[in-house]
Amino acid sequence: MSLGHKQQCREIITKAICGKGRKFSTVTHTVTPPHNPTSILGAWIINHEYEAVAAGDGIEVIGTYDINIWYSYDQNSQTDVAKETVSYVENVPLSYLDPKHRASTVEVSAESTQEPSCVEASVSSNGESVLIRVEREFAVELIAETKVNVIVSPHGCGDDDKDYDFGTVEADFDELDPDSLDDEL
Amino acid sequence: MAVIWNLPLYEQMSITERTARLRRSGLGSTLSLHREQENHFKVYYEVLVSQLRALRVRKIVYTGIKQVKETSVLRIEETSRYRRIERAAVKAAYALNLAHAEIVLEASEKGAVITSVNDYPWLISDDIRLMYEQAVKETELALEAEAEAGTVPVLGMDPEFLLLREDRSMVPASQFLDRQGEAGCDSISRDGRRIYPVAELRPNPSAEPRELITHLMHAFRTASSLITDRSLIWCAGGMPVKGIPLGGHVHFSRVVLSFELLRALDNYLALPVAILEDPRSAGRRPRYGYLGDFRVQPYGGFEYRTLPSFLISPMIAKGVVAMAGLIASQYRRLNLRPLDQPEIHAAFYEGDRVMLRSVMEPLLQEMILLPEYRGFHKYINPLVSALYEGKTWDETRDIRPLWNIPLEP
Repeated sequence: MSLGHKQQCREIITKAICGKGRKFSTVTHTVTPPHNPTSILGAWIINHEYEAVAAGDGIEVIGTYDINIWYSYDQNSQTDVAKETVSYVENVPLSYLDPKHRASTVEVSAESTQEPSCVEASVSSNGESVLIRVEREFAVELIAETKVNVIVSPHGCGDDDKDYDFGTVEADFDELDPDSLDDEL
Repeated sequence: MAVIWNLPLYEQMSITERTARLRRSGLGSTLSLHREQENHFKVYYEVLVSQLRALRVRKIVYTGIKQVKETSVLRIEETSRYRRIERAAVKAAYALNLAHAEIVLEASEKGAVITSVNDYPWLISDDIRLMYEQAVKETELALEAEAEAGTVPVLGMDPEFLLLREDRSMVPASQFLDRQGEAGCDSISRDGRRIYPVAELRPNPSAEPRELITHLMHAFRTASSLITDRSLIWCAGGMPVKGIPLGGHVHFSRVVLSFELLRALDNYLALPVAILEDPRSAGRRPRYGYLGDFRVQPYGGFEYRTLPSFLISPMIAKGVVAMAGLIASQYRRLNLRPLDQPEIHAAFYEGDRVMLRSVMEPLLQEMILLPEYRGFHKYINPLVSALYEGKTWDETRDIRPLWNIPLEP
């Protein structure tokens, strides 16, 4: 059944997820411990805190975490743990953005889908500091008011399920003939 | 009991060739280096690959005093880590002609670096042997069920094109097309910002090449009605604008994705198409369009992503669709694998068409001699003729006239 004159369309304004994005990144931090390190015995990241803010056509995730490095010094005769808090700003682009969203109603959120983790830590070439490579990933959402078109049923919400055809145009393929196209390279 | 085996090709390759094959496919390699234990903290991923998927991923942490910590990485939908590691390991195994392997890789600044490969992973332990036996058995059963059911593969596609002004500057497709729909746009990331320069056609799938091309013509017509600026030139191929690679992904369903099917598509489809490419088209490899580039789709099928945008002409599109259909249903009888040869593998990535042409004829002849070829000959013959005539396409041209798309309103 196609849409007859009895069906009506309404534009409603609703709060919806109007934008989404995801970004994986690798960053390198440099930590200088009090003693010149001989070797790295462990490296880990704790106390990750972050928040999301709208920024231009993307979403910025602003956060901090602590890097802990367990290292040896004095030719492996002693060990210590170096701690450093680092802050970061990650711009996550939106892979989808509803152009109809109302800018004044925007709220943003971010989720760390993969907690920042250290994948490599090595002693720098001058022997004084430690280079730490960290992987992190965020998924972000932009929530705002937007316009949505809905079909209004004049029959209410009875048990009688109507089989609506939501305007899928019957594709007219008859006149399209692949054999009529030139066989040129 | 299931038999687990690899083709003997890997064992015959020198370390130099193994490294070269990985590098050509876009992966780093330290296979040829003698690794000494450094005073580093380092994370490696040990991936058991079997037939284009990971059976297990383990994270291994080495510390400066050689302690080792092992943890499993689980296939959790929410993180892309598993997916990225699996994709790199499968790509490495495939590049080395291994259906089964233990691939050890490290995540580096420039992507995955392969540090070691074991081509007899099932000998590591009894547990692992059982995992491999089960995986092989599952694939055998799926292939048997497919052969018994005798279903015809269903094909779909989402090839891309670009909109250019007369001065060759690009107009983002998002000015005219939505993200979704039969004619939509697709994004690329540039300097951390996402832009939507690429137009993409997503015709309805079909088991019939002729019908699929009809659907493609319909999608073209939809695009034509939405792209109201008639002065814009429509361009396709591999890289009509430097830095903007275009793909022609072919989607398959009702066919089991197997190591051998992927190898057949590379040899019988990607290789001939590469001979017809505009010289600038090879620029998209290996980041895009590497051999065996596939993605499993949520609907259960998979997409083959190696080809450039075959919208370059109806003749190429028809030939690609018909050859893809023929190969998907008959690949068990298509046994030539010229890409196994190092010089042909290299020629594919370098866009050395003269070298690729030297192995083209037996491939085409084997396809033509299949009894099923008759059902596809109308669409494949013109492409075969172009191959024999040594022609190449020109990606600077406007594709609209060939597709009967009006240039005037």
